[in-house]
Amino acid sequence: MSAENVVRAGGVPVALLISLLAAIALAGVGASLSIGAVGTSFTDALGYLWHDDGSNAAFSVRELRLPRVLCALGVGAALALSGALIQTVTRNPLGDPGLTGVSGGAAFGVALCLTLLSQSAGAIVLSGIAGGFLAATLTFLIAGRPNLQPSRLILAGVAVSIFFIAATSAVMILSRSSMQTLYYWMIGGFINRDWVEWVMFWPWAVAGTIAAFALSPALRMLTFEDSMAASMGLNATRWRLVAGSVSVILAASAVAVAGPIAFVGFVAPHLARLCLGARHAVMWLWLCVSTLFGMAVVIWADTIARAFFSGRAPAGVIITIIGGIAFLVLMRSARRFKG
Amino acid sequence: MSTRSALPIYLVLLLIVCLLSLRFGAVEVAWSDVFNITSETPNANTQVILDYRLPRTVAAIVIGSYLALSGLVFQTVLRNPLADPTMFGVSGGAAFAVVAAMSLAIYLFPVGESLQVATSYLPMAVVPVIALVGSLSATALVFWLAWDRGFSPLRLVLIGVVLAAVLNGIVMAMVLTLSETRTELAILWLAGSLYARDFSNVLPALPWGVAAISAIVILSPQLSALRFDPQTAASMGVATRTLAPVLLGIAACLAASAVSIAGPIGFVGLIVPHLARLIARPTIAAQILSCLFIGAILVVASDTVGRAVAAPLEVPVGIVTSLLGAPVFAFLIRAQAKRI
Repeated sequence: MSAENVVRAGGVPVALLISLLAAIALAGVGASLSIGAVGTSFTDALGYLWHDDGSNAAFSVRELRLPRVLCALGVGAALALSGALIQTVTRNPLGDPGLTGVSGGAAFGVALCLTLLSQSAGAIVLSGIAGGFLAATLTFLIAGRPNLQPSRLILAGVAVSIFFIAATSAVMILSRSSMQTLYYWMIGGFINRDWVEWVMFWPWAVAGTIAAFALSPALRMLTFEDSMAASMGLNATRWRLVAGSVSVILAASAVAVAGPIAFVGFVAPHLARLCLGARHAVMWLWLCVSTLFGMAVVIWADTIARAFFSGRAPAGVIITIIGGIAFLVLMRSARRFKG
Repeated sequence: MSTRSALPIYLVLLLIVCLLSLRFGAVEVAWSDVFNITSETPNANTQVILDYRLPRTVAAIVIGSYLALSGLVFQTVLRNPLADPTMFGVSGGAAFAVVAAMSLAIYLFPVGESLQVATSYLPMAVVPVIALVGSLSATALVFWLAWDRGFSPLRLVLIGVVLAAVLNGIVMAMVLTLSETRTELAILWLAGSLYARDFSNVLPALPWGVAAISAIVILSPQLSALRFDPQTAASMGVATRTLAPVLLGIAACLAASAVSIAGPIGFVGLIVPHLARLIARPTIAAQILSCLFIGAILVVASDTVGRAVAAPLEVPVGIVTSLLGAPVFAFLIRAQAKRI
């Protein structure tokens, strides 16, 4: 079946699904822009985006809420894409940057850079990426033959993640960060994120996203047996490394902005698969729907965090609770993920 | 090593780490102060040792031995080298129940900011009971989620880890929204810390722990038989189906009373039984004794390191044990991979 035929095959029409998800994400953006200490109506908030009238409300929308909204959308997209890439590369349905240790390693790299090396944006993201690569390598060394048991790779990732998270906490405590800062950062979220974080983040996110979509034909091949991929002229190992690197870069840049948020990369691709059914085999479509789900999940988690927890609970808390429950439901219902 | 020759070594090691633990910390004291704490003329330093460090060292001994023995029972009954009580929802459930009860107490009886120490929001005596109920429920939930015509070792641990993450998230949300002294609560209930723990925290947990340890010692012949597969254990006259859940429940209670003192201190229950098996003779009695001592030594040492490494800053003991334990955990996963 060609890609076009699959796209047309039954279920929710793709155009409807995509526009629905985009609408949900945009509604989250609207809500996030209008909720806050300075109350603004939905239409006013959108108006301030185009027109700065110098009022306090305009300042909070343009300088406080807009960068935060952009960061949430970008982090959601980056984590979802990273998770989708990890799931494809490892052929492991439980794949997630948080659960494979990548986010923990990136957090360690970022914390080390902030406390010891430099506060410059480029250095922060680069050391995050270095930490992510280190953690991913360790996870694969510990897990050994990763195709055999999905649980083993993830447990190896959890071990690596716990180690790096503990090391990050130790680094931050020893550098005299306040405990409050530490826990807010370790749990992940968007409190006080502004244009500085967005400027640091967007080039990496955009580059990673373009790379991920450009890789979609190769990713499609990686879902087959390696021998079959080889018969179609694809060096599976090389493309695995390339796609894995892109996923590390995406996850690490997201961690540099928002801290180690887990489960988005697990939940978004699964929701996309659930909605697309057989059509998730069309790689670009699956990536696209996963990205939208990631954006929607993170922007709404941040909006809920601000609306119901008066901004005290970071978005990462809500994502961990919901994503973790989704993970347990999957483990419980799907017998084929036996450890 | 035979038990008779091991016991003096354990005692000497425990004494050494305890003395170090009394000597090092945020306030600089001399060795002479440590040895003079019982003297007639107290000074400021001996007061620090008596009022802050000694209770803390005692708490560390209690927690370490409880967690280690609980881990030994979990690993033996499940025949799973990766088992650790803090990973089976035990600590997550205990933390969840205690913080939920505290949030309720704060909501019902707002007390202002005079009460600074976290657990004093609740009467001390009920804290271990609440922790016990929470951890037994969470442990049951983990086993229910993992049941798939048997318990695959990796699946069980993975589900425990993820449930722990979810419960931690809920604890974090409650701590951040409901309490004035939230940072302290967060440190205590998310990482495990002995900061400001004293006898009033330890005493309520003691009877539960002593009862659980006695029960484990009494049941040790049966525990010994459970090391073998169910058929062999049955042929040795042990009712596996009733005894395994009972022993796991007792072990969960033991771990919960440790968690009720100082929060979830990870990996002690994982590493120590492995060390004990390496060192002690392969009888269950020798392993139980070794676990009690090595657990106490490990936690006292970890807490001392956390306090001494950059005094007056303090790295919580849970972070120190995680740094030690995660590589061991990784190694055990690797070993598990080779066997299959």
